[in-house]
Amino acid sequence: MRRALCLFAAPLLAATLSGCVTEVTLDETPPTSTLAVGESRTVELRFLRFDVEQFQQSLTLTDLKALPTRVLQDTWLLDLDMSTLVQNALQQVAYLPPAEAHALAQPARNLWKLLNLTAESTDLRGTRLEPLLGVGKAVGLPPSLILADLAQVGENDPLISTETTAQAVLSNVVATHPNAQFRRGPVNVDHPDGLYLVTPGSIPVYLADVVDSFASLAERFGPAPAWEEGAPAHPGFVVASSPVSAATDAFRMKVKVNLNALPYKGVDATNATVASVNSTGGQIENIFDFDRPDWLSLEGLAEDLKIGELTMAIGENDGFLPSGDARDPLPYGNSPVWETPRWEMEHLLASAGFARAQALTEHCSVYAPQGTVEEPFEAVNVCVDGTGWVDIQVDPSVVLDEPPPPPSYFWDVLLEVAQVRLHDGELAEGAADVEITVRDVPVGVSTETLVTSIRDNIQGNPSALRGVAEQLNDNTAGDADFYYYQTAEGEDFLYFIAPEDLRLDAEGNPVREYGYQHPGFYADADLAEKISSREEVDGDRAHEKVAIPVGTSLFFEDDGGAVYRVDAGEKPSLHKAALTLTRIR
Amino acid sequence: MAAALLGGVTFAPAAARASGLDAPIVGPGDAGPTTADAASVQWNPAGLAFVKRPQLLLGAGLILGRVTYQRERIGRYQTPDTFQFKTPLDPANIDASKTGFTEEVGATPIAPTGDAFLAVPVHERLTVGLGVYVPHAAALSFPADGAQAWQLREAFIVASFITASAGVRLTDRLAAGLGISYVTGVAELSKLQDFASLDEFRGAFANDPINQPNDFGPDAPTEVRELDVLSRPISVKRALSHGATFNVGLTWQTTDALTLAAAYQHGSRMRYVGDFAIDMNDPLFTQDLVSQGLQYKPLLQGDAELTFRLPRRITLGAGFQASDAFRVDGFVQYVTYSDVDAFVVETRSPDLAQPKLGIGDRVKVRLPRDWSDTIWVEARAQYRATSWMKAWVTAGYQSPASPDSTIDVASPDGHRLIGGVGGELEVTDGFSLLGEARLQGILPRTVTESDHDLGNGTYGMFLAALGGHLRFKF
Repeated sequence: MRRALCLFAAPLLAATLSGCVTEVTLDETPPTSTLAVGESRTVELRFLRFDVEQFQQSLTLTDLKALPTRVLQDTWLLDLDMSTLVQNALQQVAYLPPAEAHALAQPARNLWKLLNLTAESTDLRGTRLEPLLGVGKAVGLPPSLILADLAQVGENDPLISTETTAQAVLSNVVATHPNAQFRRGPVNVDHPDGLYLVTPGSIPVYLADVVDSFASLAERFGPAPAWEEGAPAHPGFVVASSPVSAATDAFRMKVKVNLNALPYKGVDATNATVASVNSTGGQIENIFDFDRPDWLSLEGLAEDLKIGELTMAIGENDGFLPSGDARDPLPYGNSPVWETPRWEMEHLLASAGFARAQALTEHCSVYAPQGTVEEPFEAVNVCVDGTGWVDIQVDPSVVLDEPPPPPSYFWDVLLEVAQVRLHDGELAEGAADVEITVRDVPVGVSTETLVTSIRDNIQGNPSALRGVAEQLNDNTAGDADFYYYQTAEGEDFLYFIAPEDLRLDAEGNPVREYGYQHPGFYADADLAEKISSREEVDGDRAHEKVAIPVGTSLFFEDDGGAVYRVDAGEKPSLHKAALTLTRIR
Repeated sequence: MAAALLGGVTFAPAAARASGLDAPIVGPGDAGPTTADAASVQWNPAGLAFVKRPQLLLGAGLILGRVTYQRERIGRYQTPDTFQFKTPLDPANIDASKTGFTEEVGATPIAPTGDAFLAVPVHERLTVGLGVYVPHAAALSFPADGAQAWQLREAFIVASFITASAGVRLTDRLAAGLGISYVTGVAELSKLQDFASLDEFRGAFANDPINQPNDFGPDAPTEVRELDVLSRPISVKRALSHGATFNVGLTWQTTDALTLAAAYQHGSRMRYVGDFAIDMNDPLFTQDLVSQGLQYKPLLQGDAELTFRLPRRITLGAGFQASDAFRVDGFVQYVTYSDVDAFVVETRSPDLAQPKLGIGDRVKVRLPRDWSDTIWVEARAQYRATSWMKAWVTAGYQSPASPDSTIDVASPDGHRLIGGVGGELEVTDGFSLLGEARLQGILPRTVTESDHDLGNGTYGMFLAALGGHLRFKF
């Protein structure tokens, strides 16, 4: 009748026509009030796949900067080998012209001297080798010759190369820093604490470093508490750093992925509403096609990565650490330096000496006195054995003011010499903490190496990009307690929510605690018999899951402690599930 | 993209102009291009010139109909709750049950109709006329969940003419006429819009940032059509049109017995402007692909404008007064429905814009129709039994406009057979009662060549019009 009236009225009243055809409006919104105890609601979930192939995301620096800080900070790209950087920095110090070196602060100037220490320049005064001066005087030999022969170098060659020193710095200062020992990464079965080992002598580089030009270098590698409780804090080794522009304005990070771009549909049991759970993370192991070279490309990285200005620090022990005088305990001997923290200067020097000793071959150098002495007359015999133990024997016929130096390890010899030199300028013990500032130091890694490293790392551990991938496909909505999953074979499952599924805020932090006391699904309301497991389904081992053929009833507890029964009803269609939730308590 | 779906609804107003949905009765049953009465305003304004006395025709009627459609799916479809957008289909996604004939759906339109015509001689050779009539109308209501829902759920379409005419006798036997018409229309309809058929949707998925080759678009294969998530309910409401046209005609009374007539009804550009609403309340459109730039409001609303041309009509008629009591009339009408090759719709709404996907707030879509010109032939035999009573019978045929490729349930077109009976009772010298029953039906039409399997199946239509007029002569 209404339509009839419309037709009749149309010619004259067209302007007022309305309501002849049912207007599209939205369906009534399902109730969203909290499910009361005893109340039931039925929710329909679908498992819809939007399988995209070679889906490309191209990210500029601006795009990356828009990602949550937490995600940037957690996205590990590579472990950057610091050896070249440290070596370059030490060489820059060592090669300073004397005039510039003398302008340095006294501790830095002393370090400069140490880095340039040769047998010729070694000042043995005040050390246990000082008697060598007397030996030399007695037999007419320069002590520098004895020292050089001992170290198997020329008299004007460095006793310890900067390479060796750099390696000692890496091993003792860099590699002992907590943030160079472990890095953050995805929490999973293999890494429940989310910590991953860092390659020794390297520092982990995160996407945040690329984005903010390593702005947090000093913060991350400054003073830091140890991972182990009770262990001493690390004083850090980076005092300040200027920005390191790893990416140019032309930077583009392009990834191509194959994935189901749609989220899983789940239920927030509190009010029995449908929620969405980002599915990207669950697929992360399989989304990259590593057979294609374009699965990841990084364009616009800086060609010559270098640090404009870097101030590094190495502190010393507050006391003088005597060198050892016994072989035991092997292999270092009995100097207390080995009990000190590895990052302290004395320990570093001892380590460098120890490393240097490993390059020595077992040998003896025999010296006859200058002049007309009948051969063979072994006035001085300096030997070093395969353990680095140095023994200086002087023929009793040689008249000395004081006995020759006692035997000791090679590194003990150097440690004492170095300690004394560190305090030149009348520096008191504890006042020789070194800070050195170097400029325009090449990091020593090529762009190609960077890219290769990043690609290799992600290929070996795709989950490193999980956070970024989830942000690029950010479709989590609501706070599901579980979600519906269907296998390729059409078997229906319910997956209980895992910590990594939680919705994130703008900073990338979960919006709620993972407060589930009994995660998983149970056969009874008392949650005594668990019927779900983490058994692998389609590669997933992270979730408690259970198959739900039609007619299944199960129970679970939400993060508020409420217990629900779930009844799987007749399937509305092939890829849908109808679940009736009843709050039990 | 959502705007583009309005392209899918443009056929409906057009269908109102298709022969299948021409109003079955306009004016009294004894009127035609060769007759001289107030209804000549509509048939042939030249006929007015032979009206001797002022005349008023007031008509009312009832249209009853039954339109049936049994869809036959010939193509292959995927399970509707999946979303595979590129063929070949994964065998697991093939819906084996979605083939063959579906349950028949039907619409039973019942609607009143009416018209009014006035003819007033103002000079011995000049008569003016005025008419208000509804030459095109359709009112269909199919089940919302029927297999035809992607074609149409409901439609209400009317085009009305208000015409002022004049007929002048050039000679005693030759007259010419001219009518100027204001054409107004209203269209409302609802259907399920298949987003898979939209070019904008294809582009949105194919271009940055989604970059997924897909089979969507106007030529989408059946394999990606009629998916649950892409089938969005849409309604167009309050779409009004205003236009103008004219008709001209000649009437030649060659002898006292034989009258010949020719009439031309010009076309008109119709521009329907109304509102649309689309239910986009599916997570795919409202939240799941936000990162890719796809996010609509749950209920999308805006302005819709669709334009097309009414076809032209050329009518040739002849009437022969065989005796005082017996007369025969007939005409042939040629309708240039081939003018209607496509319809263009433009939708506007700020909520349409999806900048990341390259979709603006204004989308223009062209929907091919490829209609054919039609022929309408009709003959009437009239017998005056007494001085105060006459009766007539009518038989006719209309050819279809819609080809198999584009026919659908909104335009249940076919070879239409027409039959009718009527009569006039002169109550007084100045007052007559006219009544008529007119039946129309298309021959059952089975279509198997519908583009993209949209309209394959068997169509049936039957219309009955019962009407009456009051004729006043002053």
